Amino acid sequence: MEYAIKIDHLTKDYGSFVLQDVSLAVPGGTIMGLIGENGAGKSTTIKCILNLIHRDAGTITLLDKDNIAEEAAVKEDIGLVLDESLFHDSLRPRDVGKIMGKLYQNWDGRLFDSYLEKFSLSKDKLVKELSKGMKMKLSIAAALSHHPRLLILDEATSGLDPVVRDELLDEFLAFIQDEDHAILISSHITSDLEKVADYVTYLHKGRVAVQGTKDELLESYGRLACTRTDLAKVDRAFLAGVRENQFGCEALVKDRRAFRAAYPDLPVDPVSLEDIMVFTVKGEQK
Amino acid sequence: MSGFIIKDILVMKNTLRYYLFLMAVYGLLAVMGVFPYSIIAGFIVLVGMMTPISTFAYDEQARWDKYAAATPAGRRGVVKSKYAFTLLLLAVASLFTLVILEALWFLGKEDIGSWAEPLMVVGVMNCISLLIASVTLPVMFKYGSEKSRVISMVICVGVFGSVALLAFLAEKGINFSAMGAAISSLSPWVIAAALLLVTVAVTLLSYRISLRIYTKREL
Repeated sequence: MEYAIKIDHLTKDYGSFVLQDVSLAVPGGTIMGLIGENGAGKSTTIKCILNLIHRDAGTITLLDKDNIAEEAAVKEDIGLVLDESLFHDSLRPRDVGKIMGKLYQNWDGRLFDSYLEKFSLSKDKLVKELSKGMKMKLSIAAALSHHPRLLILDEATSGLDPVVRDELLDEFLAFIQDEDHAILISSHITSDLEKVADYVTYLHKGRVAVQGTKDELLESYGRLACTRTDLAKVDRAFLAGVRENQFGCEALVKDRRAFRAAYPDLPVDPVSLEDIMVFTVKGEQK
Repeated sequence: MSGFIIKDILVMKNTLRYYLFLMAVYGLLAVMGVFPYSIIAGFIVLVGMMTPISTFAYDEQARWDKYAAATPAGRRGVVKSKYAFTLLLLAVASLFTLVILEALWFLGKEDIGSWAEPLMVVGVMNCISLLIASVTLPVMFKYGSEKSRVISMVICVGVFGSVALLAFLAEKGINFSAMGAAISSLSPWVIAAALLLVTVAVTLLSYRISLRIYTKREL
């Protein structure tokens, strides 16, 4: 398996919103972070992958299988975690085990029990009595206990406290140790992705705005802080976005090294994924 | 698919217990002669109509539909399971009803003519219940539980309104028992088979429609 996920020219037209020509590839043994502001198309992309909505164009291959032609087979190998609790309030974790055991051929009851123990989840507590973090842990335990090869997480860490988030990110990193495994994780908490992602795709208004390996992106992009006069001298082709205020200007530089070579006197600092996201939006607004 | 049925049973556990309790209470009251036995038979229709709607409502509340469609069983499994769950409920409700009605016959209740009468009543109630479910299930797959409640109410009013109308006409002098006897004397087995056949055909058609609706639905 070369790619766990391979999306080519995916398009979904809602009328008021269009996911347009999205292509991405997640190699085995890696984590792809899907970032973007609310309504950028992250969930739409994931829904297309899971065939929950009907795409208008493009192809999606999951673990070397077409996501529609071999839907049932491919879904045996997918672990899914959504941002909302999936399980009914009146169920208990042990009920979840019973249900999932009948839904997945490879369900491993012992593994599920070990996750419940690891996450300190009582088997007999009602789902409605669990905190948001505990519910998310239950979802992750359920997603991991049928030995999936691909984990798809849609805003799985949203609304969780930093300790729980960190705990879950460690779990994802452990999952990815197997080269046959891969993760697609969508989030607008870019700091989480900076910790775990190998690749990043930034969706903006339904299109891929930035894409690449996380390290390359953080390496190549830079943050310029300067006066308006200095900014006026800069070739705009270097810039991905500009933010101006009463004290001066800030800009996102696309190629930090080339920029330093061209403008050695202007200071360029490293950026975070959040900077790339914010500047891209702000730059467009300008 | 069986995972979805287990899920529905677990989620509806308390409601199902409540139904059983009600059936037992009404059964007892029927034995005591407080209620006519037909009320117990009416439970089959109530269970068949209300429970699937409730499971849809609970699924929507938990946002379970997206997750369910993303499992290997997929949308087809979801549709199959709702029909299978309805049939399972009807089978259990019918069994309980039959036991109570046969007990009433054994105890010599005047309004139950023979041991075969409860069988016929339960059979007819099952057919009515399935016919109602055959209408409401595709509507639920299309519009969700909230809008379907209204439609189910309309159906309910339609069915029970018709019964009320028949009772009214009977009071006005139309001899239904004579009519029933005439039909029975013609060929009761053919009539029962015809009703069963229509119910099976309508249920299968309903399943196909639900599957088509749910396959096209954007989740």
